[in-house]
Amino acid sequence: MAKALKDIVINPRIQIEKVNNISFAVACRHCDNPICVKACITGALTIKDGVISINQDKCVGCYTCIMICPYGAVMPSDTGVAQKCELCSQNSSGKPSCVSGCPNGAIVFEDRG
Amino acid sequence: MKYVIIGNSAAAVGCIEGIRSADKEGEITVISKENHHTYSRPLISYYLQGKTDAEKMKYRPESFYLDNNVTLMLGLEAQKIDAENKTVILDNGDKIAYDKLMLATGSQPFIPPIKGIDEPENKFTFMSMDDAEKLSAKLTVDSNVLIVGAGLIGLKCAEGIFSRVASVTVVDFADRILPNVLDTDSAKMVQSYLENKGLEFILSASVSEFNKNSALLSNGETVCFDIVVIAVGVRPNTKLLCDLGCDAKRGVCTNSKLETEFPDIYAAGDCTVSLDISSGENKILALLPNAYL
Repeated sequence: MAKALKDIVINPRIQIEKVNNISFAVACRHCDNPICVKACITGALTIKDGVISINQDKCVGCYTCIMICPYGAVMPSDTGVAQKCELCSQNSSGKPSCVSGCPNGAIVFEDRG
Repeated sequence: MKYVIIGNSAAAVGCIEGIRSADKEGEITVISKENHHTYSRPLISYYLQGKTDAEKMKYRPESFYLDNNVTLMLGLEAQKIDAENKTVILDNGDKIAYDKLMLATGSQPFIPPIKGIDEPENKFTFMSMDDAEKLSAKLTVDSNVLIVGAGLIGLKCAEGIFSRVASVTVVDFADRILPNVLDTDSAKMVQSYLENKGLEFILSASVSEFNKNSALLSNGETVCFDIVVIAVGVRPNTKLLCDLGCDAKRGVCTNSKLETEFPDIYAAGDCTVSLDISSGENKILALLPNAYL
């Protein structure tokens, strides 16, 4: 797997933080009072029904959201505009792939409303 | 409750959303001299670059005013506040009554009193959608453009037009580019990056005199141009408040609730002064997120 990905740049929507032997996955917290949405200069970032999503067509890639997110959960995409976890709402599976794909069952998806 | 907002950009949108989070019923009126749906001003350089368009530049969806039950008065300018009778007087003579008034009037480009400043035919500023459209209409692949001011506005303008013209020269009185945000070392790095792209800089020099198609600089050089963009700085739009007897030429001072010294008059965005926690000074922090927040 590692060999197959050599020299290939991937831009995941989830970051793995590591300290010594502890590692954990960080994705968007979908904050109730999201500072990324407030800081977005284009209006591309919005919150609807508790899910923060980005209209990549509207985003110009100024990266204000990347600089302001306290969790480092917004990042550049392959096209240069911003991307973030949208709870896989745009994927065909419709549910978070990191949860179903984590071999250790370490990520759970709970609606704590 | 009657809310009146003067201005229609980020601070006004923040104000509308803030009011509606607490009051779904009150009447909200927005007065704006610009004839546009609320749009993102910082995107005008991306607009010239072709990275966005007028539709995508809308800072909120088309239905924003309808969804928030806002009465929109576009193309009208507030001329005077009658604080005693709590009304705003417009340039068409209309009087708009308010219970709470928000000044989200922003700022305007400063045009320095340089000798011959009215001489150049193709002279522009770079602040609004209309500015960008006027400038865009004059750009050709043969244009030599002079930008006066190497601050954020001047350099965003340079970025926006660079691929569409023959040359861009930026002049600034300071000894480095982006003097308000970069120190000498970092300014050098950014400058050499931009020079490698093809931009030209003349620093530690100001324009002493304009002619129709040239500028005489304080260092004796003459720069010829087809188009000149004046981007030496902005001044807050505070006349309405100054006319009430308030010393707000350098920006409106508010408390942490955005109240001005006059009852029921609030101010937000680029027309206001706030505390810069990095320097401890009170100054205008003209950034879109600040205006919205």
